[in-house]
Amino acid sequence: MRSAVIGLGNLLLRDDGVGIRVIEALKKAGLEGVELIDGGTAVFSIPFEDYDRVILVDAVKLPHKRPGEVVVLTKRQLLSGGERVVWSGHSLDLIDILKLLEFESKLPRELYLIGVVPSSIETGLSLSPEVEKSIPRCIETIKSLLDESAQTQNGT
Amino acid sequence: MARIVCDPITRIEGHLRIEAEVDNGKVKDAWSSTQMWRGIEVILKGRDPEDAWFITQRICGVCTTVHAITSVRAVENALDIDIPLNAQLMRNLIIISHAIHDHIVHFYHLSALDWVDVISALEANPRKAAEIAQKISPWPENGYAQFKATQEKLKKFAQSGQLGPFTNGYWGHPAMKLPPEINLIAVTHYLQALEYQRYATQACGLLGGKNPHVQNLTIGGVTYAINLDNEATLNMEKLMKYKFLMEKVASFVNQVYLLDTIAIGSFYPEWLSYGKGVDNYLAVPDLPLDTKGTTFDLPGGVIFNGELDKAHPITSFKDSFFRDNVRECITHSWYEGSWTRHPWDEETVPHYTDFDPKGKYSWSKAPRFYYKEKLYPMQVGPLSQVLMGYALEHKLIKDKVDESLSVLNKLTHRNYSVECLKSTMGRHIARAIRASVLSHLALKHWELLIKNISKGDYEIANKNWSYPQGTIKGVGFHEAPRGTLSHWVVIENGKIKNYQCVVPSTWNSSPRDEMGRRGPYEESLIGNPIADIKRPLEILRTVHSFDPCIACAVHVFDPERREQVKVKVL
Repeated sequence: MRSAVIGLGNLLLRDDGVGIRVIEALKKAGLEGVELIDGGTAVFSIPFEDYDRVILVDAVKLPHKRPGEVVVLTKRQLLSGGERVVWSGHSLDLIDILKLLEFESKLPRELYLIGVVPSSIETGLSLSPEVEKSIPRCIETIKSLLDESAQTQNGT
Repeated sequence: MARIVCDPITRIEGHLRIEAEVDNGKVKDAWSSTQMWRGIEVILKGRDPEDAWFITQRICGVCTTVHAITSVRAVENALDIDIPLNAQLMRNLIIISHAIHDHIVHFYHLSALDWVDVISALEANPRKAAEIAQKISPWPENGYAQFKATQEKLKKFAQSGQLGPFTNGYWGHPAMKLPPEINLIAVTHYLQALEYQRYATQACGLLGGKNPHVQNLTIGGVTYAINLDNEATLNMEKLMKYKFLMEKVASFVNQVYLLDTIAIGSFYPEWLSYGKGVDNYLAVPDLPLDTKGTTFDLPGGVIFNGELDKAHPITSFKDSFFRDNVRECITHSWYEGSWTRHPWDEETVPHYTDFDPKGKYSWSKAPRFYYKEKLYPMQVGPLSQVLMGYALEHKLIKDKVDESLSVLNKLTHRNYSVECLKSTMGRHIARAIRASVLSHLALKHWELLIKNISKGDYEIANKNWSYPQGTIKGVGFHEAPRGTLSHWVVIENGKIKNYQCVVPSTWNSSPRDEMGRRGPYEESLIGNPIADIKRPLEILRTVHSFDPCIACAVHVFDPERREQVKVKVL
């Protein structure tokens, strides 16, 4: 089973870069058996099709949650992301890319998004203290997702 | 008279708002407003110049490598150093693969659906589609089986009450004019393009060390060691893989992408005249062939008032005609003051006031080209480079243009000249022509690199330099997929004192200048028809034809997508 953890976001916009900071931390921790990818904001260039299991990490807008809170969104939640009025394909985002892959039957079998609620997305290179503190929790969540699915794998 | 506001016009690349006045079904006036402030220049102040390429490539998720390349060139220009030939060629291979990826994605995934009605493809006869497609192109994936498969997938989704990736669109809009079979062909190629753009991305990653963000640049060259037999370095296996991938991409570009733009264009002849806009063009030369940056494989220069016969070439990285004549004006931009300055002398002090079409109304500055005591708004992008190549009789470009026009004339039974490229649809065809030219150059530069390495030259970086005491200034430029990109750096005692990025979309999306002259988006919208004022598809067509990228927006994932596109009729 080929697995990848992919951090998304813009490093120059403070907490928006949290996904990439998590990837850096995972690299330092030496996580094995899984590809660690800094996807930046280039959703088009991400090789989703190469993996059976993908865990995305990104900042997530959730109005009722506090900055630094970590949530896990499942594949179904990601794909059911609210319909929106757009005028054309020029407005593609992550959800659109996932829907395209679904259309082509090329979605990874397992897909999660670990979201961190941002505090500041102003221009700047540093994370806010709340989000900085959330990184260990992100890593734990990633590890347990990987373990969990490895167990399911063995059980079947 | 009605006034419409489209906000935002792009999403992945940032926010652009277009306000237009419509009278008698035509656009009478327009204002282009960038809604996001990029404070990147401020982050760079006081830093080591070597940090700049790494940081600036994060400005945007679509144009990652281009800022990195331009940034190292700016510092190299300030230091006045030569770059080893291997490094130039490796950078060129990165530039080419990235640009082709970008052009393919722009056409199919970011703008084709302005012209292609996905719902109409459900009614197509796939056998007839195959006949039509095979008449236009030898592409092996133009078979009945492919078209049938696409239609089946679409049907399956449509029956489930939703269209997956195609849920949103202006389906059934009166300005959609393609027959069902052409729509089916285009949707099929849209899906195939997804695969082929990835090959280009993979090729880019092979040379760049990493994708989406290149990793192995350095001021003075690249850090990717060459050893043809070592696994960890740039070796023969990786080089062969690059060639293999780019050959596949080249066949898609030449047999599918270029012909699709021409074929779709032939059904929309009116859009070969709408959308011309500002008739001044700027492109910079790129793909250097020597260590000093004095000979190039892509032409650059300036054309004023559409006069191709009076084109002024830009011929080297040190060309003073470019270096001395770029200006930015902030009369109508949300910055403090009201000046027109050279980028080295600029400051970036934001000062937001409300949207005021008579006063300040955009975060974008207004870049202008200074020539004979006048300031000119300039159109940048593939069209500019293609026109420049045509004007300078650049063989590869001229042949490709003539060949494309002859296909277009055969399909339309008309007699179009190069002038038809100065239009909304023409910009798409010009971009595909550029992609085709690049696909030829990919193989040429690959051979040049192999030839140079086999001479025993393994040099990859010039590190014989240091920052002098005092102040030095540099400009780096690159003909990026969206057009002329330049970075301007002032270095004082080895630290960045000032840094300005003058990006293609700023040239094109620019607001009015001190003389009140419109920028390229604004000017190109004048006279466009608007069939349905509540669904202004035509505005999207023209603005999208420039490939807008309002340098990277906040990327925060919004599961509920509250950020909706709004069309307001005032």
